[in-house]
Amino acid sequence: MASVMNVSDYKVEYDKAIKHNLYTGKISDIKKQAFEKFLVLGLPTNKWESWRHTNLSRLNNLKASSFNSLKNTSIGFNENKIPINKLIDLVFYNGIYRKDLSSKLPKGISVSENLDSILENDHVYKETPFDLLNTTFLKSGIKIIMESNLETDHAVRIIYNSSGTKSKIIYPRVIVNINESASCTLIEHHVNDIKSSFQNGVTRISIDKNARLEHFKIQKNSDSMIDMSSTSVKQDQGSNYNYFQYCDGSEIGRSRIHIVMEGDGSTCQLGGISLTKDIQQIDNSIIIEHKGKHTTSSQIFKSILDDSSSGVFDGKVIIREKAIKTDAAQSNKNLILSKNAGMNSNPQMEIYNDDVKCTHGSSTGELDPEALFYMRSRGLSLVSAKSLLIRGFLSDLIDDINHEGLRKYLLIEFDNWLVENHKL
Amino acid sequence: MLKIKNLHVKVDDKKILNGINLHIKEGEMHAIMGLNGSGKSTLANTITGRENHTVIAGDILYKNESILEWAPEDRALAGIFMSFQYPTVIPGVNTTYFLRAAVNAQRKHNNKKEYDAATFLKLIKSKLEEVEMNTSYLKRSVNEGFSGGEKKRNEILQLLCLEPKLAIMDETDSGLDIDALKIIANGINNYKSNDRGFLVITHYQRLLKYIKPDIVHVLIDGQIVKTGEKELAIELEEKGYGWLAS
Repeated sequence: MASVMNVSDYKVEYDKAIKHNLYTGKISDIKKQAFEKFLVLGLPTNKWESWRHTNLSRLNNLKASSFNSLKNTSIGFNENKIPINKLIDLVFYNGIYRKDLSSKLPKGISVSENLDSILENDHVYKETPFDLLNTTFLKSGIKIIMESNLETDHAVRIIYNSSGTKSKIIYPRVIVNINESASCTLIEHHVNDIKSSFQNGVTRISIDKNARLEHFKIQKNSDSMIDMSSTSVKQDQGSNYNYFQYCDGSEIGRSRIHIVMEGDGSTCQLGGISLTKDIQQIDNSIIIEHKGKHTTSSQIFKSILDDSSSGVFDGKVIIREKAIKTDAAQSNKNLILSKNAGMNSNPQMEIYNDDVKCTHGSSTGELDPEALFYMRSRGLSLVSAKSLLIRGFLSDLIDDINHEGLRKYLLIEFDNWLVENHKL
Repeated sequence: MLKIKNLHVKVDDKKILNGINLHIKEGEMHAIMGLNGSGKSTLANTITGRENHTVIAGDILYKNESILEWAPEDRALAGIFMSFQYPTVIPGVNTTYFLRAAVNAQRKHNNKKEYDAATFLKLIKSKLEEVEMNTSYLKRSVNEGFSGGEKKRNEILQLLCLEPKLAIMDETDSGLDIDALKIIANGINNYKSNDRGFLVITHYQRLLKYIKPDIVHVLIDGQIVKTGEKELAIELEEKGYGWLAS
């Protein structure tokens, strides 16, 4: 067992792997480089800019070991149904891709498990220490390729599932290449349930010229999981990236998203809903870099925080010198349901040219007592009035989900969350 | 139906009402007139149970029962309604959904079958015509982006949907142009009946050209200083409030 926040414990793990010749060929060089970079960087502390409000003390107490075997254990896999026809499921179990549990692929979509190509063809921006640890210790991953001009009504769903009672670290890695003019939907569905465990996941997406991706992340891990996932997206000319995340799981759930809009005329829209209770923390660290001309980005992240839970929104939009005619909007809104809950919101913009249109804002507040009285004066109970207001807070984001099956699914999940936690 | 006895009220720490006595019977329309700050809205908000309105002395009886301890929703379900002076904007809550939830809360309370969406839509369309609103309002969030006049018409729409026994109209006429004022007065007049009571609160006599109260009270410094018939309103228009203030 090793502490997940102790550099020397990772060193012991790495040396052991080298000694046992676990890494061979190209992979071994890439892993070596990554681990050396990690040793230089070290693990984040609250003094690091984008980690100031993340609750690292709870990570410090977490001791876990990685899965050593790739053997096919049988799993108690719960289905987590989403009402979508033509769902292609790709399953990670305990951090290992399981082809035997995954769907057959339709024409135009291919999946490779070859680690050489997964690690080699990587586009990399600024890697975090956890990204580097993922590269060093990952045992399994997939590379999904959507072929050029693909138009499909299939949605690819990656299920991150795990179970067990022993503390584990898992390192799933997913590479997604959307080739030129393809248009598709990707769902990442996190339903991990290993007691006191740590998922350090990396997803890297490239969207080629004029291609389009609808990307959903649904994070419903059990409350004892710690989940650090890192998503990077590279956008080519004229591409469109739509991202939506729904998170109500994990003790600490951190999503780091780094989008680089390289190509002219590319657009991205991001929406996020975080729901926290007890001592949960959901942390969103978002970087959008505009590099191409005429690029457009918009983001709206909303949180509802109850009990002693906390949230972080650390969003940065960077508009590079050459990115003229950029249009960027960034918004973070938070609803606090308990005196003990707290939110740290830090929307920022770094603008390096004059020819841009940018807006950003942040607000954090409680349920409006005037609105509650108004509704009660019409005969609605306090509980119904609260529930309507809370639903109303998120309604614009949920209404904007243009995938009907997912919208219905998320509405039910949100209602369940409200009912279970607030007796509404 | 409503008996207010020697009511003293403070809002936060400020004493506003200083011994109000008022008796509204079924079928009666009472008007309360007074300057800003005289306590008119405080009275309306106290009857409907708003927080921070603390009754220090006296009682409010509705159908012979004290309602002081009742939650705002229980007062509403018993048939008390207030048209707000400043109707609240409720972002993200659809107008139709909200109205149906409110009407169904009433129906459930009265052991009636709740309306499904289609039945309710038919009902509300006929009510919309009465206040000359079109169905586009129904798709919007409650009062969001509504003009002052639209907000007040939306209040009357809710009155017509909820069918209360006692309707308190708090400055429903303020900020309205003459056309909107007529629409609202019509709504009130059509709603008036032998088993319903009205308490109309107003600053000006303007609204009273279109609706005819049975009894007019003048409120100054939290006390009713004069009560008369509708001619009192005309007298106030001519002379102002100064002659009553001594």
